[in-house]
Formats: sequence, structure tokens, C-alpha cells
Amino acid sequence: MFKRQGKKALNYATGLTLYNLLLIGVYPAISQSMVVAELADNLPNSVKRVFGVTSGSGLDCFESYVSTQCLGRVWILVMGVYTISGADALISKLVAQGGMAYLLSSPVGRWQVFSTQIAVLVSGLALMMVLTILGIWAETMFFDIPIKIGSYFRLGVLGLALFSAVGAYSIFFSVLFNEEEFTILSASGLTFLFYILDILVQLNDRFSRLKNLTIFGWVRPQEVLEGEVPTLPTLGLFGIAIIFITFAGYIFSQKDLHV
Amino acid sequence: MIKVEGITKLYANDRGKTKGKETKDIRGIKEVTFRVDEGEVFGFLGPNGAGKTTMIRQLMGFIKPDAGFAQIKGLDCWQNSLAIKALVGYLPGEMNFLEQMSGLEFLNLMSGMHGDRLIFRKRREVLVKRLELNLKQPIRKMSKGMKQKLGIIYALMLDAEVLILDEPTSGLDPLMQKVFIDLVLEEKSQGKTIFISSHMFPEVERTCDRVGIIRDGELAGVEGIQKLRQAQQRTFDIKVEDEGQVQLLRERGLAIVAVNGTELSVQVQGDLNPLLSGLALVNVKEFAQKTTELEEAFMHFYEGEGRF
Repeated sequence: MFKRQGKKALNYATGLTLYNLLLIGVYPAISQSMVVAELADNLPNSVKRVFGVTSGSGLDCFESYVSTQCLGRVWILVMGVYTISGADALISKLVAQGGMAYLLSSPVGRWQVFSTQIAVLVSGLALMMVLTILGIWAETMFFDIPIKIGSYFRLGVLGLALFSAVGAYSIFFSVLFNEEEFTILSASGLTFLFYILDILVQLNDRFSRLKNLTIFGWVRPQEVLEGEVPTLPTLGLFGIAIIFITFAGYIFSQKDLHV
Repeated sequence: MIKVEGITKLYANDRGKTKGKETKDIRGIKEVTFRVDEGEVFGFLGPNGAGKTTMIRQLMGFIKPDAGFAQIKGLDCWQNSLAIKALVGYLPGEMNFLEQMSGLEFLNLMSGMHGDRLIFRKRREVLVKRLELNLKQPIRKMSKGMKQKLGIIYALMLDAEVLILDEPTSGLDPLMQKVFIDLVLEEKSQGKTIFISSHMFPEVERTCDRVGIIRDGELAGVEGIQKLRQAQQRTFDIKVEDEGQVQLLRERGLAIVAVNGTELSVQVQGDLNPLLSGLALVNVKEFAQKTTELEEAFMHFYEGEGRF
């Protein structure tokens, strides 16, 4: 199970790293280009916010560039897809297809099977984070761009917390529904809702009160990279993850499994 | 060894789902009671959708009964499901494995989950040889029959005291069905208790001591296979030389149900000798037995006793 998920994480992470390589590779050229800087300055603030720029023009420092380009929307999308499909494959799919029948026909308890699946999911996410951050680090070394690795590490932990929370409610839906479609639909629906809320919050100050309603609102890559220590959001997101996982585990240990 | 007492499991969302395996268990089971003694092979026979798989899920502790209980070796199947699983070798009805693995990886994983004893490996090697399965092949590339063999190897390699097999010969070719029946008989001779669900006559007839039949979620009854066999009504299609011989057979009091010229169908219940001695007097051109399904025999049996 670990091996399977590991392969999948590696594939996703390689894709992300190559994507980052492309983006970071062009950074020196972009940052020195007057035209691009002007263009960026002239962009309406709302557009910049949608793309995750929280201060400055977005191109004058590497932190702001990397958080918009590498850790912005595409990264969240890829990680979201990875997390939700992973959570589905680990419980829902196994129950729906019947493979779970074999795992549960052994004298290994449901809690144990469940916690193994959780461990697979979380370690997969951690691997993704490590590879993403390592990738960025290696690429900045290669292109000779100075970074504060500590901030990136903190961002990695925060990212792990964020997607553990996404994974936790996905797992929760995964044990709640017998049909895979419902799992995917509800997990991605909720994630999308959070995501839209996050964009609204960033677009317009009127919505800023909603910031705490979306888990994505707790994660501001640029601020973390610029030195902020995100203790509260990290703990909060891990807390959400633990609550959902506990509920999910309880349901899984009690429910009728038609395998 | 296995004791089931008034077990009931009904599904609230009746007829809601129509696709795939869900239709199979839609109605659930109602007040099913039976017991299987130690060392006995018990056949659980019924058409698709009658509740066979639901009963097995109860025994495996996958689902919680609405009422009643199921016990294996005195342990409640829902409350003590962990202890139960240490006793049971299980073959699921749906052959869906963890597709990315090879057969060998799958068996290693399952051995590990069962505590990896030396005997598992020994038995596995013997079974692989007898069932002629290539374990190195990835499971997703296996045919239905190969997956079935893999499932059988898994269930039997554990050397468990109790075997619960859900439609074990589906997908197997006739040769392998015979191998399987031999394997079951060997397990039986070692004193294993075996529960086989099936909708097919031969695997049940040749292996089971007693048969329970389930229809629409209710257990119609439990009978010894010998008694059933005796009660089984057989029909023979016979062709004789001329119509005079047909008349001769008719005079001997045989139950002739259809005559077409020199061809006739004879029904026999239980003892075959009256038919054979009758046939000894005529010149038989053709002789064939129509096979009746066990279920049919069972129904007939109960109709005869006026219990339906």
C-alpha cells in the first residue's frame, strides 16, 4: 500500500517540480525585464489578488514570485486532486470494489486497517511536500537565487497541515458513503467551495470576515515566505484533520461494510 | 461450530439501487436459523439475490444484524469479529483484489496480516501446483478464473478451522472445479468445518453433508444430502424399438410423463431398480438422464411434505 501510494506521490511531485523548474528558470529573466515589471504594476489589484499576490507587484522579490507561481493556484489544484483521489482510493474504492473484504478477512482490526490507510495518505502528502520544497530549493540553488530555507520548511509544514485537513474530510466522506461518486463529489465540492471563498476574500475586502471560514484562508504562502511563523493556522489545520480522522475512524469501525 | 439464531438484516433502501452487486443483497435476510457441526460441510443454496452473500457478511462480521446473532465456536460474529477472523479462511464472492499487486505480493500481504506462519507457505506451494496458477502475474491481468484460483489459494492456505466460501467454483473450468471439489473433500477429511454458498448443484452435491436453501431472504429448510438425493426426482429420456415395447413399459407401472412414438420420458423418484428391470425387457435404443437442479429437488421435496 505504501509502495503504491509512494509511486503515485512521486509521479505527482515530479510533475510539480518540473513545472516549478520551468517557472523558476524564467524568474531571473522576468525579474530583470522592465516590460514585465511595468505590465505587472499596471495589472489591477484584484487580478493580482486572485493569483495569490498579497503585497507588492509580485515580481520584485522571489518570495512573492514563487508563492504566486509555484505555490499558488496550480499547486493547490494538483495537491487537491492528489489528496481527494488518494483518500477515495484508500477507503471508498476498496470498499466499493471489494478489495477491502480481503483486508478485513484477516485478524487485523478495522481501526488498524483504517489507521494504516491514514498513515499511507499522510505520509504520501508529507512526501509531496518534501519533494516540492526540495525541488524549489534545488532549483533556486541551480539558478543562484538566494532564499531563506527555514521559511520554506515552515510553509511545507503548513501545507502538510492544510492538505491533511483536506485529506481528513475526504476520508470522512470516504467512509460515510458507499459509492465512490458521492465521496469524490462531496470532497471536491467542499474543497471547491473553500477555494471560491478564499478567492472572494482576497478579491474584495467586504468578504474579509469570511477569511476564517475557508481553510485556504489560513494559508498565505507569501506571508510565510516573507518570515511570518504560521503557528496558529498550522495547529488549527492539524486539529481539524485529527477531528475528522477520529470521526471517520469511529464510523468505519462501526458501519456495515458491504464488501 | 457455526450457530445462527434468528438472524435478520433488512435493507431500508430496498429496490433503490439497481446496478452491480447491490441488487444481490437488496432485500436482506429474515430470521435465519441453522447450525453447522464441527467437521461438517454445509451447503447454502439459493438463487442469486436470495441473501447468501448477506448471510456470509454476517458470519464475517462485516455487517451488524438487526436481530438475532451468529456465532462461530461460541464467539459472536459481530462483537468478536477479530477472534473469528483468526479462525476463518474466507473466499469472497466478488473477486476484486488490490489490482496493482502480483498474485505473490497479494498472498504475502495476506500471510503477513494473518501472522505469517510457516505452514502458510507450505500449503500455498502445494495449492499453487494443484490449481496451476502463475503467481508472478499482476492481478489486473488475470482472467476471472485465475482470480478465483488466487482467492481459493488464499482461503485454503491459512489452514483455518472454518472455511467460508462464497460461490467458490464460479469462473473455474470443469477440470478445476473437480480439483476444487477434491480439495474441499481433503479439507473435510482433516476435520475442517466448511460453509459453501452456491447456486450450483454439482459443487454442493458432491461435497456437502447437509444443505440449507434460502429463498427471498428466508431459510426454506435444512436437509441431509442423502435424503435429498433420495427424494430427488429424475427424468429419463428413453427410445425403444417399437410401440409395443412402450406399452410393455407402461404396464409395469412406470411413471411415463410423455410419449412420442417410440420415445418416452420416465420420471423416477428415489429407487432406480423398477426402471432398470423394466428396461431389461425391452430393446433400448437411446438412454439419457435429464439433470434436475438441486434447488428443484429441494422444492419438490418440501412440496411433497406439504410444507410449502
